[in-house]
Amino acid sequence: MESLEDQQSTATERRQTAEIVLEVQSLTKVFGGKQEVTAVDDVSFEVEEGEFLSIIGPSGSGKSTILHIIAGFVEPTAGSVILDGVDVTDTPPFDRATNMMFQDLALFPNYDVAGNIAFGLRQDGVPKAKRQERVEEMLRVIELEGYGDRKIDELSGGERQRVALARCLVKDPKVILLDEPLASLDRRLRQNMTTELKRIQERTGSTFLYVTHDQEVALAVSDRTIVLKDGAIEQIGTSDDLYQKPASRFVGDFVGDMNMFEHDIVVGDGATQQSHRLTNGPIQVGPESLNGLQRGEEKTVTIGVRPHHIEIVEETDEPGYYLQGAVESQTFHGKSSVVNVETDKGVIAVETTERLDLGDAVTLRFTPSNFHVFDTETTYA
Amino acid sequence: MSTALDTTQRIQRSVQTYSDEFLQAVRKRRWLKMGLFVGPSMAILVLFLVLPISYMFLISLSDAFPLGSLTLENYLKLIQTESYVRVIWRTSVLTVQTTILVVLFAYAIAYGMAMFAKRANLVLFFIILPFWVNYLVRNFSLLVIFLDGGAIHQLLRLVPVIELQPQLLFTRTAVLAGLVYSFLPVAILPMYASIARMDKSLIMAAKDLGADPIRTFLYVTLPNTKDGILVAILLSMIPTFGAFVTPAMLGGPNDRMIGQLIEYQFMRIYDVPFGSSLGVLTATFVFLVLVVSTRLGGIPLIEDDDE
Repeated sequence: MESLEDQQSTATERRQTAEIVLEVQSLTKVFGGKQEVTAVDDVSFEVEEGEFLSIIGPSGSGKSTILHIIAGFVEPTAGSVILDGVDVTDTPPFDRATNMMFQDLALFPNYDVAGNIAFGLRQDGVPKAKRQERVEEMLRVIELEGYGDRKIDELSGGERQRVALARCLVKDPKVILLDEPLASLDRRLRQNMTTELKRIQERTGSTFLYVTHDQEVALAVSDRTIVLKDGAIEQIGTSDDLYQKPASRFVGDFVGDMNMFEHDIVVGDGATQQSHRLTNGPIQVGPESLNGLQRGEEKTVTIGVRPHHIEIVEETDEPGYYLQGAVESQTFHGKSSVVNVETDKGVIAVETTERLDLGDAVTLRFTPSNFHVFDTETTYA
Repeated sequence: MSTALDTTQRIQRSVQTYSDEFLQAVRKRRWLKMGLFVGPSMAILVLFLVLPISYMFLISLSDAFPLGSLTLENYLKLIQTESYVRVIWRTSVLTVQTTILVVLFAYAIAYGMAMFAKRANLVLFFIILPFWVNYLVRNFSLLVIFLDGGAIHQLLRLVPVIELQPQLLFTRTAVLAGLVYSFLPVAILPMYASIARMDKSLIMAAKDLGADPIRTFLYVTLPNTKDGILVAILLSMIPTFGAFVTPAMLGGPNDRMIGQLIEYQFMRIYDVPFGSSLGVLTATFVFLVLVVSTRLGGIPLIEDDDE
């Protein structure tokens, strides 16, 4: 929970160095109908110029709706969209300096590649010679030189993606909105294409707001990422922030894998110098672990530990917390494998390079500094 | 018992062998395979389309029925008689007018259905409903509506200022209205299909790239629903050119169309050769319309394999 303050202070620092191109203030969208659904719930954030900002979250968390509100296709129930200092909440989509890369790409089948890329410029009344020049430039950026007179249905999936991106880039918009444009690709291709998106984004200096459900890919390329849950922001931060300091159980679980179990903590100095069995009593944590806890206070919380932070050891006197269990299953991932260990605290996933057999009795060692402490009541109510 | 079983088995086996051999033989001979697949439909086409039209063409070039000596007399009569030329011209004008009105109305209705209707299927049902009523009956109902003192006149009477009671029945307007009414549903269906099939995100993309609603329609919606429009044009143009019942029932003596002329030749004065030349004229018209529309690329006569 301490990360909230962190976020605010880093945001202030950034504001001094970079220009804010897009600001979203208390955006709320309630869809009517038989049952009212709050798709977007009081969402506020800022996008800086030249930034690659991702919005991730499970399906139905309101990611696309936010993007469609920013583009002007969906009217927000409350809140405002400020683009380059101007409130555009009531501006129709064709008068907004944002461009969207659609989920199904939405390339115009009645135009060739050049016609698609030039479409936006033509609407702005850019003269033909200038248009052609810009199209050639864009074809170079997406490395499809000489493809200008190809028909859309003659292109491969990857080529279409790049044309769709060029169609956005050519207008040099304040923000390019990417609405899961790579969702149809398989994982490997999606990773390649995302890296390419990042490369083009860096080269052109454009600002990307990228919506995806693939958190791994998003974390790999984004400057900052917004984690969305049920239409509300759970956390905004760099990939490191999200991974190292998840603000909630949800973020911890969504961004990378995390073991979760309930346990008692007692606030002390933090570092334990002795070896303890985890089942023997409360864990001693530092006062910074959870907001609002006094020294000496005891509380039942949710503890999160990443699989690679757990070691399989012979029980020793080394300081740390120990837990015993039996190997339940093992999945190989090339170099290492993930072992599921049945313990008194439920099934714990451990990343290890050791080869183990099913049923093997093992001892797990936890280092207290790798514990993520979440308030059980407030975050999982 | 066992011998009976053996016999049936043996018969089955030999049938199996023969059919296998037959299939093998067919597979080896390409022309035979093609013939079996395409033959029946070709036979139907030749028997019921190519032969009759050829025969009609032959009669139109002869001076007597069933067959006389070859002459161009029928065609010369058609071109040189002023009243016939006028009928052809009138038919052409009415066909163009009908097609334009049908396409405009049908597109508007189809667009509304495809984009906004919550229960498009129900609307579609009501559009198809008139087809269940006989064509003649539908024209009779129009006749009653256009009648002096009919529905339209009664409606006009409700407007206090207007004392107008124009003659409606047996006018060109009535014929045009009747033709539009007849072919509107036929045109709505292909248009609805092509508008509904169009990817709606194309419209969003156009707006996103800066096109206002009118430009979006002209640059994106219209070109991407072109196929449906062309089919609708065909489906209203071809039957209108040969229309017979509607002008006969709703039009006056000055609103006669080619259809009535043909009927007159065959049913009243039995001039089969001249009637055939009129038939050839309408067939040529249909052929030309088809050629032009395929050239425009609108009618996918055969689906492309790679699509």
